[in-house]
Amino acid sequence: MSLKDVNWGPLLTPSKPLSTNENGFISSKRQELALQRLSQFNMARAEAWRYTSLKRIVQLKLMSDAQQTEPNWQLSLNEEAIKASSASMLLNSKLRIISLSELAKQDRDQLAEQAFVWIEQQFAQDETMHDLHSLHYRDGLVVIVEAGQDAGELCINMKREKSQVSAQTAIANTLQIDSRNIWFYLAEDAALKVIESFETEQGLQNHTQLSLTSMYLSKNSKLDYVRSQEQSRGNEQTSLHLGRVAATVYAEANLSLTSLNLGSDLCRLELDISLEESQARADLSGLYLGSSDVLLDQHLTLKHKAPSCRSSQSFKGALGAKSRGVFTGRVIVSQGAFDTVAEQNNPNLLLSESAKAVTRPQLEIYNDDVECSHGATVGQLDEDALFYLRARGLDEAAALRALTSAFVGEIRETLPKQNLKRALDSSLKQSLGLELELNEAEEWIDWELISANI
Amino acid sequence: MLEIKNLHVSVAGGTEIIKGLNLSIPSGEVHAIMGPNGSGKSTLSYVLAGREGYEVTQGSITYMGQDLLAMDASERAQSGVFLAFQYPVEIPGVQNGYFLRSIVNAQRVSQGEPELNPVEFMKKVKEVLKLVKLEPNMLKRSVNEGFSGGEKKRNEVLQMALLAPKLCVLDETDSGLDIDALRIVGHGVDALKGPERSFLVITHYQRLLDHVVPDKVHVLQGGRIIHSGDKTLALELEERGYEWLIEGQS
Repeated sequence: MSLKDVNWGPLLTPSKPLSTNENGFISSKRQELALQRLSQFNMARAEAWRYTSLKRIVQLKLMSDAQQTEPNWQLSLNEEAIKASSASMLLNSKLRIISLSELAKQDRDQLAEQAFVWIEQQFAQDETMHDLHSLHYRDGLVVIVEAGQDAGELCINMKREKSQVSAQTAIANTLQIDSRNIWFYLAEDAALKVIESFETEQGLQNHTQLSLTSMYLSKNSKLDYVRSQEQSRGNEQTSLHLGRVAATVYAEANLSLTSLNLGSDLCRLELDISLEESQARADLSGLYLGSSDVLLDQHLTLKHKAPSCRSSQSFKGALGAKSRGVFTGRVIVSQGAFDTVAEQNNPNLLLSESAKAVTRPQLEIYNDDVECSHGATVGQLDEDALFYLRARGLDEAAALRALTSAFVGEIRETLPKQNLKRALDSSLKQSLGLELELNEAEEWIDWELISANI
Repeated sequence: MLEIKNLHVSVAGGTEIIKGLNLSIPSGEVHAIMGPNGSGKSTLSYVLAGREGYEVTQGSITYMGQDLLAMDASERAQSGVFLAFQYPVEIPGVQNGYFLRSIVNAQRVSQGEPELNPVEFMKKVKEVLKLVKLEPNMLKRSVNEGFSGGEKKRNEVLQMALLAPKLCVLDETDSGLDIDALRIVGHGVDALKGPERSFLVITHYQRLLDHVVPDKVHVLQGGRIIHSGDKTLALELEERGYEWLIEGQS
């Protein structure tokens, strides 16, 4: 089966039940509006969706056989597992983790109320991904960090296993939809590290992950966010990943975002970052690895709305076989956003003649006092470097490995967890047939220390 | 050690660069090749190291009794041919220490010896670092990235010392060096001289040859060796240039 054969229609069919009472948050009115908009999908949006054809989804006859399975959250805070079943999962002096339905119901204090109002505003947006989420709404997860608190590291995983999917769904030509929405609300001076990962068991058919991650960074707060998309893929399966990460960053707040796009057959990832007040900062980096005939379509919008904000983007693609990688990097510097510094970099490495990379830097600057740089490259490995390594006795395969390792090494080093590095390594091995030279012992070699002790 | 007979080399596209070159370097000898720009010096070094993009249309190169042209670049390196690059390549993201240990281990494995672990490697590299006056912290940096001209060339000599090659080809190793760096590099190369090791020193100037004294000096012009002499020839060339030799040819 190929992607062409999959009936995407179910994506446009609201998941049942279509009522506010049971969902607890999304109204049937909102769903109807979403359905209406998606059905009349207009061309203005189509440009943004040029490489991932939603048109195809829209044109297909609506069917009602989309199935959802219950969320299977796996959460841990500072290495300790959190019991995910209760509505109010965790409450301590530093942070609250609560389901969205529970937040909607409860008596909210000031902070909770601010978070709730923000979430409502987000869902009200006329925006394709929010529309899709409205149709397939499942209860969300809200994480609130109290003012002035550093809550540590939160890991969020939702692994989908074959055993959780009914046999009927696995056989039939229908989409299995997992929908998740997560909300991070950081109060002033708060800090949090987050690792969000997406996994599916090998061999799962027709599986779609629909994901919405939103962040609110109040003044002088700090969020380190790593997103690892490791959905399985293979010849006999089609898996689709539609993700959106949105962040609103206020004065002096700091967002660091790392995206690993390693899996699925078709991935559309939107990043929408807004620097709202002065001296807000966003450092964004990413790596995407393509194999077979995978399409990885990344669409980034970064808005500089206030003076003296800083942003950096470094997204790298390594593409093998017939895969395609797309990176659209749109930077908008508003009027009045003077003293802006924005850097963008998108190098792509093609490891086969049939692989394709599309890089689309788009700068919209409505202001004079701006320092914007962007660089994009698409190419093979450096011939001079390859020869240099071979002239020192490394065979061709080893030289290729060393250079590809170097290409991905920069981002690999920044990954905060060994399991993320392992996921990247195994993806490199599976996707590109590259066994990295960097093993765990190697990267920790402190040559000066060894030298001092001899 | 090295026997080049009637070598003809063209670049891709057809232009012939080397036109019937003959050169014989016995074990333990240092030979210098001098010559004006465009005479084929760098092409000769690349052909010896096995770089793609050059076509040998005639002639032979025998190294240690083997057909050198039948070996690829990494095989040549593993069997003891070393090219010190005129422009050492910067490789961002590959740690120099890791790179050096990899090339030492690649050579050891090819010779059936066990790989060195980091501590064993460090013991080996420490002595060599002193020879070229580099600090251990250069092992933490990316290969040649952000190195000064002198550091790059010293890193080349460092690799040469670690790999202990049999045939060293130095392609303008003196270019871009100030007097101090030249002394360090010259001293490093000189320390590696031995009865089992031959050198082919490609240079424009006499100055490196003050440190690495040649047994023979050859003048390359128009893709052929037009004149050979002893070390005094280099001094004479420094004084008189190449004109008198080139005129004598025609």
